[in-house]
Amino acid sequence: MFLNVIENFLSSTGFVALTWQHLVMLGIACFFLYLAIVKQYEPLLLLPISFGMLLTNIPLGGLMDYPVYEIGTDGLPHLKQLGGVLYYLYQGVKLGIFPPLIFLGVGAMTDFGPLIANPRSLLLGAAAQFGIFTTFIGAVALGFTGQEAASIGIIGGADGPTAIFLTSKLAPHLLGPIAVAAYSYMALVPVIQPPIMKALTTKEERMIKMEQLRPVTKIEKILFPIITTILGALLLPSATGLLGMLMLGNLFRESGVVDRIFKTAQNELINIVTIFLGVTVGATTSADKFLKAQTIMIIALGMLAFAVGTAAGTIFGKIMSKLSGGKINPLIGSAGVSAVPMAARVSQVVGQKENPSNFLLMHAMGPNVAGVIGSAIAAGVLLSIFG
Amino acid sequence: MFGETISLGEGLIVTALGMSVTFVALIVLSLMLDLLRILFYKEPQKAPVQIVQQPVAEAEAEEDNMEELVAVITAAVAASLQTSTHNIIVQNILRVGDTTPTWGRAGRVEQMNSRF
Repeated sequence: MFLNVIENFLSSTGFVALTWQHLVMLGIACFFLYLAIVKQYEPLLLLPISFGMLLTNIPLGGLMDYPVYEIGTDGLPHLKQLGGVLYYLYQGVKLGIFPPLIFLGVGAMTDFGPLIANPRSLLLGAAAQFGIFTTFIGAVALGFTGQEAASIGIIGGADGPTAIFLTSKLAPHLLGPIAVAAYSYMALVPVIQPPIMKALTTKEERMIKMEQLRPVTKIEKILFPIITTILGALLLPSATGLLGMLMLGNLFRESGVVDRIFKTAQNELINIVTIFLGVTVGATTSADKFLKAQTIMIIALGMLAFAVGTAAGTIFGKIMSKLSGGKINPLIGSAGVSAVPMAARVSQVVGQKENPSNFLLMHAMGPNVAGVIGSAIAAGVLLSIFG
Repeated sequence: MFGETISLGEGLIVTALGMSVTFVALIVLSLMLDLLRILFYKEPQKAPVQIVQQPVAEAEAEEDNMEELVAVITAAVAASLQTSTHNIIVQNILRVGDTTPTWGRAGRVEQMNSRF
């Protein structure tokens, strides 16, 4: 009797059901936890993602289990067993609710002033989206379907919420690897970008000092989100979700009349949604979905996406530098790959290495925030083609 | 628009379409921003560059951070003149001797301390 109880208990532990795939995934999760905690690579996202990864790969934990229904005698489905807690939270990702909410907070945190002061930086934000489409073609060549290739390409947007939004709509089975690749590379922007930027520019170009930006009036700052939403959403209705929420958050900020909700949007709300988004996205990386050759291809293509985006932005910056007669420092072009504000900081650091009295940060913020708008629009294009 | 799998040619079409829509959208936005600037932004009157020679009382300074000190004094002068540091040129900084008698200084220190 007593032995029976012990035997029953032992067979209910996870150790019995543990496979080598689970162990590998637990190892990967711990590695990402290490990167988040010790190396502090995007810890606000990488930590919840990697812990979600850990939770979902513990056998019999059932956190991501689907609810079980059975058809009753009345012919209607009845709930037999509840799903796991992360399954329910994941619906926010699956139904496309969390990414727009994150964008609301991002909008509230973003100052579009540098962009309004220098509208040409929008072109740099567009050029850097080239990485998305190059990678898309690369993924097509490797045999991914159109939907999958579009989701992989969007990694080059260097924008986590956009990548998750598009992938959850087009290729939800790839969500885990794509989110992990997108956030890992965003954390690695200071490593990936500088060699490319240096290879493509001359020392003289890197030393160009830019004129101080003009001050921006309040009315311009208030009109910007409103007009951008109307124009952008009319042009590309499928981008309305992301673009609209981004601009709403920004209007909270610039209008100056809704201080309370502005504070909530940029603090509590975005933090809460980030926790849910991170943990549940991490929880999609179950061993059977993640340990595939596809994942390695996605990680490699993601790297390509970032590199091409950076190069395209820098090259376009060079062209604009020539056309403007040397008034624009091409280093700000690489900031066009969103990854706010890391990419702008990289432009600043690389520029300052050549010329310690050069301050490119505010100039690079223009293309940087333009990149967010650009990748939301690129996502809208892909969604309207493949959705 | 496309089937399950797409060919490289179709991929190129998507790329061309995607990049052009992105560019068009952002160019339209940047033109709109130009319009906003024309409508609502008035160039502020450029203050003429003025050369100010002003004696500034200065604290004891270490030799090695003189540059920093000059920057601080320049910023302070600019702030007190309510202009930007771009509009002034610092040519010379002279130390002004403190003429307050010792008793006066002691009184001032006492006053200040009593407020904390």
